[in-house]
Amino acid sequence: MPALDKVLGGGGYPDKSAVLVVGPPGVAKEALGYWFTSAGLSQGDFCLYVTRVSVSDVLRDEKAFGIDTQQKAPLWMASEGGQIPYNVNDLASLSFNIKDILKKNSGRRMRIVADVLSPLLILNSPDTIYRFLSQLFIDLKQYDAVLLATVEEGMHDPQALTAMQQVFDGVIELKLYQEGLRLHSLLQVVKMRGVATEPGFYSFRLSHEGMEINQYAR
Amino acid sequence: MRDRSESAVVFTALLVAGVSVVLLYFIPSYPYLIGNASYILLVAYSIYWAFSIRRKLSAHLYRNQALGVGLVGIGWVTVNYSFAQPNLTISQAALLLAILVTFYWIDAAVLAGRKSDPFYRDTLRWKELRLALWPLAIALVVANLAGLLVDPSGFTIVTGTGISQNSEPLPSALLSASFLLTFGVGPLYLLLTAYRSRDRTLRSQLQWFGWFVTSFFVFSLAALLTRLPVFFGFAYVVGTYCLYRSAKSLAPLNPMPFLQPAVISPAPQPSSNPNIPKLAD
Repeated sequence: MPALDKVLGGGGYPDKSAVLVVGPPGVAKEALGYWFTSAGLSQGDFCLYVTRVSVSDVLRDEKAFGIDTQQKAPLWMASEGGQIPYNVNDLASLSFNIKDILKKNSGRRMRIVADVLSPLLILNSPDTIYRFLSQLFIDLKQYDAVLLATVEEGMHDPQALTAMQQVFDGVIELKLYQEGLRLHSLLQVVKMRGVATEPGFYSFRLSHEGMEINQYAR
Repeated sequence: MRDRSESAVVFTALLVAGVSVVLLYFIPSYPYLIGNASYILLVAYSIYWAFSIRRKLSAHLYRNQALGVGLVGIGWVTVNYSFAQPNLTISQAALLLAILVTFYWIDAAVLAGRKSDPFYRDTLRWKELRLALWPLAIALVVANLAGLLVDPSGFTIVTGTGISQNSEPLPSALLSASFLLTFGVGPLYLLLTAYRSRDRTLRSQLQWFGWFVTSFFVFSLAALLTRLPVFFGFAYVVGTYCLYRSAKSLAPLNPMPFLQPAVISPAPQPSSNPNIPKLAD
């Protein structure tokens, strides 16, 4: 996505990094994941999509954004319809399966998209999730993978969310802001380790062509 | 998040609307448009927010939910306006369409609620049940409308000046079925959805919309039982406020930030703590 790559200093997401996208439900977090996967597949990267919803629901959503991953599909780890089943109650098996997939595809560039962080944070203690993520991040760096995870605003204790943001290499916020009678959807790169990002807020708009991002000026 | 000036404007509009709507029922010569202007403005404001939030959302489930709130607002104003019309068929048709759009919102809210359930459960098999309920809801509205066109005298007629209740069993059963489908089945699913969902925004939205429907139901019942149409006035005022809060709860709205530069962190360094495993790079 050239517009977002530009905001991220021109090079896109850094290699071997874990990026967290925070925002309210429906704002466009998942869309970032769809484009990230689609771009990876077109470049020949291995892509793993870990989702709490059914594959058919994700495909329908992708289609609404003009993205077609039917030809070159990612490996699905999903609650319904995926090649690998995802069970929200079994964190150990989730961790094991991801590591196993990374190991099997070592030597390739890999991309992982995960929208399961919110349910995992609800059902497990922050310490457990912190340990799970720490192990995952070690694996990402070992096997040359980039992780894009999404988390819902308004579903978690703000302190737990802040702590979660600390452990990720990059944090992107997509939020709605009210100014009088006007609403703005603004994007902010809160942090991106090792990258000189363009500072400030950006207004964004989604279309079939991708995400249009402009510097926001009051 | 609402600021104080917005709350003050909404409260004033609500107060004026309340007084005006009540005056409308006690003073027959009171101009209808003036009486309802504040109320209609407040509903229009709620509809504006519902559609504004919808425009900013990208996921179709949440967009549908916002559309539902906007459509219910439009249906609500139409019902209010049609009750003051001499054409009884139009007033009943408006009521039926308002019931239908309320059902649309219930459907959208239950589907959206599933996404915020950590276990992604299909509440009482709603995904399959809705395929049967939608044709039923449409068929009931069509049957009611057909009945109204053939013989309006058999239906409960509500106007700004009086209420006459239905006497024939078939129209009564059709209208009751429409009500039951929306206001009987809907709350059951919505309560379960709210219970299972961990999304505070969705819960707040469901709560305010629930109050909106409850106020409409309670005051309408009071009007029918006491034969005093002024209770509809209370329903409009209380319901409108709940609708406004419901529209503003569709998504968390943050106050505008002050522009500040993003922090550029240094590249990650290996930890010196021997207990933390080294990052293999």
